[in-house]
Amino acid sequence: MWTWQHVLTTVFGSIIFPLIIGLAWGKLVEDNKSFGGVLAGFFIVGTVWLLNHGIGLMYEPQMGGNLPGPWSDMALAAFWGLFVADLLEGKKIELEPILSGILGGVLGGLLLFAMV
Amino acid sequence: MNFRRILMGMCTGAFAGFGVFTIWPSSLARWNWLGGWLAAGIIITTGWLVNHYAGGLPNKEGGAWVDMALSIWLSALLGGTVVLDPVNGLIRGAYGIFHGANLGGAFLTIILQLIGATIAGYFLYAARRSDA
Repeated sequence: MWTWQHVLTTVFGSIIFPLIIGLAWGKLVEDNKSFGGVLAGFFIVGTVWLLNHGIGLMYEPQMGGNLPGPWSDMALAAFWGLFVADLLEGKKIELEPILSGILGGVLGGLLLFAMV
Repeated sequence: MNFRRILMGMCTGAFAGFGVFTIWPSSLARWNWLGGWLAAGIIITTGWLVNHYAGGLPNKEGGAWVDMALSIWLSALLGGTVVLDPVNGLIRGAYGIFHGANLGGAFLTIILQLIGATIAGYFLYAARRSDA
């Protein structure tokens, strides 16, 4: 059951992930080029994952029971936060990357479905 | 519309999506929470290198940024997760929409994630504007 505590932690987790990516990822890459991405993988995504899903800031009650799912990953917050920031800045919606992203998700889902 | 670029983006996006939801649960099952932290460096780094550093996902100058995270989120939502368990071998971790899992169960989580992310997007926009 959802309580206000779950709402608070879920919303906070969703704020912090895109915020840290938007603030720090570009700087890491600026300073270290491709190696900055390696650092970002561990110290941004890894560390935020520990809070959001490892510890569980994001509440996912559908994961109980014997048919757990569907999983809504913190990736949604990353995509949406960065997308919204650019839209507010007046950048255009480009169909090519959006279509690629969605088709990539469908193919990725199909592969996961096909595995076991 | 360049369909070859879209098809390539589909493959690199699917690589990130499939990679995250096989490597992450497996690494977590094997090494506990440290495995979860390591998994990020193992798969997110390579996913980012190919999708964003090398430009597999066709983002354009002046266009709103589409992160590979979109593919990653959709992959698990649709196809669930797969775990390489140290004891039981390859097993299913979670079910997705393709298995008939009910989207309603994740509905509130999704809405709250979108709300939080919108707030973060506003913060980032405001910070960039005050820096400029």
